[in-house]
Amino acid sequence: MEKIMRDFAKYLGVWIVLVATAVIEVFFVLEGITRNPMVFVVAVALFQSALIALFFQHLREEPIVIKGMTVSGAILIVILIVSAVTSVLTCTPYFPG
Amino acid sequence: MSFRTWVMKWLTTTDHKDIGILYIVTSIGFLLVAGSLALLFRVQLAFPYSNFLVGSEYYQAVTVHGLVMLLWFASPFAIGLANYIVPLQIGAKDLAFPRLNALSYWLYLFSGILLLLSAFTSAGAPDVGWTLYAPLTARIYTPTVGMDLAALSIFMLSLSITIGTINFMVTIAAMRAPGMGWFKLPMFTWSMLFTMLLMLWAFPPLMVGAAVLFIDRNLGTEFFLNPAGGALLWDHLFWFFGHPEVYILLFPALGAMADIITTFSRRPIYAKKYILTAFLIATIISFIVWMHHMFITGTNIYTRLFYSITTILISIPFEMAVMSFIFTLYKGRLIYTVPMLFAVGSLLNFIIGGSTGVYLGSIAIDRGFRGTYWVVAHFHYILVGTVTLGLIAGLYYWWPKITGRMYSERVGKIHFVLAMVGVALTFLPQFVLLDMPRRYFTYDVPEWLTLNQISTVGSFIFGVSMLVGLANFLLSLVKGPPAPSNPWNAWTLEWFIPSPAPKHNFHGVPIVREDNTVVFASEEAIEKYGIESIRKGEVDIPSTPLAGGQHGAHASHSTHHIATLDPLILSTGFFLAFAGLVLSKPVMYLGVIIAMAALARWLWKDVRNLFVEDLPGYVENWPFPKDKIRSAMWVFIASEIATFGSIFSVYFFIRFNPVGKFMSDAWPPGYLVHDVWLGLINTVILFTGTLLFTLVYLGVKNGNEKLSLIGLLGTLYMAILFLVVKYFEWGELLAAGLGLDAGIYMQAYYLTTGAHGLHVFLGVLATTYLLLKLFHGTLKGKQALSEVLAVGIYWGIVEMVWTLVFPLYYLV
Ligand code: HEM
Ligand SMILES: [Cu+2]
Repeated sequence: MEKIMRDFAKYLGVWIVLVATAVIEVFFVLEGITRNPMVFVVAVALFQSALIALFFQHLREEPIVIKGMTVSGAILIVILIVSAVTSVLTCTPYFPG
Repeated sequence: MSFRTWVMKWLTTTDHKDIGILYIVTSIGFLLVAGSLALLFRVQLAFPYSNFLVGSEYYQAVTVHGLVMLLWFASPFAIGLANYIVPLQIGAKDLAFPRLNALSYWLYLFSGILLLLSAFTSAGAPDVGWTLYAPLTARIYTPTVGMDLAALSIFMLSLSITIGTINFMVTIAAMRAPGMGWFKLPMFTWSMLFTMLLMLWAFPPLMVGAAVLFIDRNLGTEFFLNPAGGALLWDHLFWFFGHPEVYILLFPALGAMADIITTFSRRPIYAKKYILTAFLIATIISFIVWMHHMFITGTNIYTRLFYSITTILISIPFEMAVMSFIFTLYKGRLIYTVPMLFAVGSLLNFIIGGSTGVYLGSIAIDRGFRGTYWVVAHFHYILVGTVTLGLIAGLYYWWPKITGRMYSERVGKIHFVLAMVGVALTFLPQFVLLDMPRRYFTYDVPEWLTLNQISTVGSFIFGVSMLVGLANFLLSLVKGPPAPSNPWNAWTLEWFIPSPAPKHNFHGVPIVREDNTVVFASEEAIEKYGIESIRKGEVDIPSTPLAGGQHGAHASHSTHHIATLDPLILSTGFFLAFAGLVLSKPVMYLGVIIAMAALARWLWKDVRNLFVEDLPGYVENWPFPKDKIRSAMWVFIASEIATFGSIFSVYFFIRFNPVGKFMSDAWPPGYLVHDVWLGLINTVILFTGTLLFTLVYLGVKNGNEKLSLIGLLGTLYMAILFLVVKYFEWGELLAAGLGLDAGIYMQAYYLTTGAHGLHVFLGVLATTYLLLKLFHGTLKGKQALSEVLAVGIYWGIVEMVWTLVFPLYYLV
């Protein structure tokens, strides 16, 4: 039981950080403290996602390539998003003026 | 076997070999449908001002032809061959999840029927071209229900593909026979692995695109009509799928060709490791070339330049493959059997099809060629000349293994000659027609007449060749001589067992020894000597005889070879639900009820632990964990990333579009629209749910049932609470006049939170399943732990997605 409590305490710690970052995030954006809110919240989300990835203890047991596979999926998507954004920003016929 | 048992066998089978045959037969059915359509419009084009097939009917024929050929013939045909052959090539007893394999098949079949159903509705099938370009697909321009059916059929097919992808990836990676290291895998299996990787990330954007299209058409959203999204948004989603799709089609054919060329030139494929590296690079690059389909959409010159360069780069790996095949042939002692002829023929066609594509990669040249018959000729040389002929080569090659009978070499050669002549006559003239626009049902330029007529004649010759081929196969079934186990003296594992492959594939466990020979060891021998010493050839165990005996060593309790109607019923439910959604609401409800009942029935069996999903200790499983269920969840997560990535790219695309600033419904900061504090509370609720789920993990791991119970109930409570809060939130927004008609930012909000909510709901189902297992006393042991971990990983991704949704919509 004691070992279980110890494991759970770890998860609880992660949970507290997650909740705290969410609260801080809201506070910062609403108070206008962040200079570029979009970049800020995306960075916070990345941080939180990384924490969640650690949330489940077993993650550490998985072979690296497997984790890599999901990451590579994410990279592809970043490519999609970046191209989508750059292409609309630079797209002549749609660009007014 | 009586007729009834015969029918039941096919309806209930989960054996990868049967399902492979079902896939092959069904896809050939679709080939005949789509091929007949092609002959119809070739007749129309044989004469100027012809009235045979005009206007919408012509466009319907072209659209259905394209969609069916790519999505319901070529890929599934390859998947069929792979279903039969890949487990044999790697020394597995079946795919990792046989019931899901059956589900993939039935979903595929019904999705195709759903599409063809559109032809029987009053306004007919969609007539917008296979690329479904926006805004032509919008309700105001294409009001037909056929269009809705097509969108849903693509969605349903994507489900089938995703399930199949997971199945194949886990099988190839984690179920290889002992000693079957990665570099010993045959080229066909390798090529299927690359295909699966491509499918894993290419289909989610298509699935999202099809879903959004359907929502646009039926709920009044305007993602593909709004100036901030519109045609360009569809282009991105579609071609992010569309370009990888061409390699999804190509890889299996190249793989089959490589195996065939190896066998019939009597030497290993030249520079195999380099070719595999090249394929891997091509797989990656194929995700960053899609905008070569959008050169004239007005994107900026540097973007175009980038995509032009990647496009030309991606031809290099394939040039390497071609060179390797040629060297193999050059150095080999060639035996010209029918499969070999087809393989070499496809190689020749590939050179023509591939090199004409490189021209299109040039921004300048493409400006002239875009939308002309040059493009049509380019991709048909690949899709017909290479992919179709290459896969037919594969069918001839593995035919004896699949059916246990030989076919007529003479008829096969006639088939080959006619097919090659047919392809050349049909498509070579189209290169010359490089100023004739495609997708026009008539023309009045006299110089085009002869070329079009040659093309039409060629298409009929090709049609006849296919009939000759079919006749050959049917004759072989009726009176072909029995096939020996290895008619070609080939080296890969599928040829070490009798033809057709016996029920349990291998008698004993195939072990690939270091000197590349294979022994079939009994479980006892493995116990006694250990895998390692057998593999090193230190012990000379008698290899178990190939013929005879009925089952393999560990077949008894696994999911292998169970007969079940569940996949069929579940797919029927989906089919009725989707068809009913468009055509008749009562049918839809019926479908939903059937699907839910089938799902419950399916899961109830697993609640009772009727089957053990386990990997024997000796399989080669690197890089996966020795755990099928968890591996499958990881692969699924990878595809989820692509799904949500597509949804987020819709967000960023619309939000960053400068056009938006000039619109009346410009995107306001989230905190002005949404209740930030309610959103924050819901965030905490979701975080807490996932925290409580860790109790389930700790409970099952340590055998503490009370803890598991608390964890499960707590997770369920939080997840349901999350959904309830969401429900009220939506209600308030609607009451405040912020519904779907309030602007594109609200539409994006509902789309994203809706997709996320659906995932929470699925998580609730999965958690309930675990709860039932707990009540049933089956939530213990290794398998239960795998399932708990898998559901845990799933909750993790649901939570991660929310960490982005919340700030992007509620805060900024
Ligand atoms: C050497 C490799 C290849 C290159 C450089 C290449 C390049 C291109 C380019 C630039 C286009 C756009 C042309 C236009 O619409 O104006 C195109 C169209 C197309 N290609 Fe390729 N391609 C290659 C290989 C393939 C392969 C292997 C396939 C199929 C298996 C394929 C199938 C298609 C299809 C279906 C289209 C037309 C899509 C449509 O507009 O309906 N290509 N290709
Ligand atoms: Cu392309």
